[in-house]
Amino acid sequence: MIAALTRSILPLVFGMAVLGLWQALVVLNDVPPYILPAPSDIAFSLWVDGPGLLSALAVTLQVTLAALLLACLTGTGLAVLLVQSDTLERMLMPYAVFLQVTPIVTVAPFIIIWVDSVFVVLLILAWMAAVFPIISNTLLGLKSADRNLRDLFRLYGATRAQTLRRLLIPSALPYFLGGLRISGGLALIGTVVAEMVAGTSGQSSGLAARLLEASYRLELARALACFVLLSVTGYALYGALNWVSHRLLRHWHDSVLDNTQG
Amino acid sequence: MTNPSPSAAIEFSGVSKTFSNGTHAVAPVSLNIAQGEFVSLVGPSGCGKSTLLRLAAGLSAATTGTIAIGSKPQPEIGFVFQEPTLMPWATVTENVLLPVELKGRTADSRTRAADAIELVGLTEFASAYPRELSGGMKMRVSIARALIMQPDLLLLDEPFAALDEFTRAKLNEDLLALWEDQRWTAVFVTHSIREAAYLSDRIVVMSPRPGRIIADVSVPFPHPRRLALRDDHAFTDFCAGIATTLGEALMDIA
Repeated sequence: MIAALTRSILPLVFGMAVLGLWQALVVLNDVPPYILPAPSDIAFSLWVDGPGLLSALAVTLQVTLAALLLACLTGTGLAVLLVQSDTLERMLMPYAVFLQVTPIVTVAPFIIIWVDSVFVVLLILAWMAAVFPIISNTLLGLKSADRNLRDLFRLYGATRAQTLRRLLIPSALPYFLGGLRISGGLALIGTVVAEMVAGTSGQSSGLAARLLEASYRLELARALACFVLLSVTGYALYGALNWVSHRLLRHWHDSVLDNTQG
Repeated sequence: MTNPSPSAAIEFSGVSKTFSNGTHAVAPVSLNIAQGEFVSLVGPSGCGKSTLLRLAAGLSAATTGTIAIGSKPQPEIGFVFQEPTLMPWATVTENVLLPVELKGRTADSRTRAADAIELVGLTEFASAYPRELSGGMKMRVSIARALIMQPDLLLLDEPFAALDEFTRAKLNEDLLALWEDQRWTAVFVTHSIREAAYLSDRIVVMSPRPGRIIADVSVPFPHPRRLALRDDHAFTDFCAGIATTLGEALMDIA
């Protein structure tokens, strides 16, 4: 019990120590806030600019979640399509890999020219960043269904749709969820990069655009406040996806075996 | 499929199998199994006994020959694999229900699942997940699933090979009791002569490279049989006789 408490407190202690050291160095050396603001300056900025930054965060989060949802739908859809035939997979997989290996920054200028709506531009770029892990993991999962179970489905004359719904999709679920956790982080990164490249500004701009704007004006405390909010968001997103994964797999998958067994 | 001779549950006529990689797994084999008969296929690895079972189930196509099953146009076949082969995401009931659901759920399917689960003695685990069960219990679920469709023919591919000796003996006893009660036709593949002798009406001894039948022996012990039979001298002598037959055949090959 005490050991568990210590373990959960340890990272906090470490974080506080680093922040304290940072605060002390800035105050003792009189470092100007446009070079390096003290943690207290960042906290103050979070307090004062909080409401404005939160509405910017809402914009960023909206794009991130929309891109993640779109990546789930298209990624799983494409995986189901590719698993239907080897020919199809050989034909299309190189282009799916293209999505993965192309740095989205290099595609951004074209998308910005071709698409009017800023929201759609951000959505496309964040989707490009997020979709590949879902395609490749789901595809692997669909192919990993137990050989004997496949035979059993054949023996009982299962249709293609029955095999997909009752065997392939449940087999692929843990793989898909693994991909989803990676894609969640990538969707946020994709949104942030897209906001920075697209150079959005004004009321409807997201948190990354605000961060860039603040840093241009040398308002580093505010820029770091944006940074803190983005990190916390990333953590929260990862935590949420982990929770979803645990809920869906807790009854049967080895990855969530409870301590009473094995 | 052609119609088998009257009273035959399954009839192999000149069945052979050569895999696409050139392996000649089964030489032309002919074998008749009567309605309600319990037949074991015994032999060393590579003698084609599992292949024969997969051919009977229609999971693989014979290179030559024909296999005729039952008198119905669409005979009901149950299959029990060496591994329990359960869906880990589904409860015991859901696993047992699978064949029914694939063929279209009926009003009484829940009752049928409950009955099948009761037959293998797992009623109190009906809503458990496979990972909560022991190896022997998983195998029981697998047997319940194979029995729920009331199969004309039950094919078992070394179902107890991975279990410990005690669990194996218990499952042998329970499987035999089920068969004595219901009398489906069973084809049982095993490495163990003792297991085959305890369970079967007939033992078909096979030899490898390519797989063929070298002996077809009737088991002389009357039903109902109990586990104590295994300690009987007659039983031990009978098993020794089959082992000798098999040993001589293998010597010839080597």
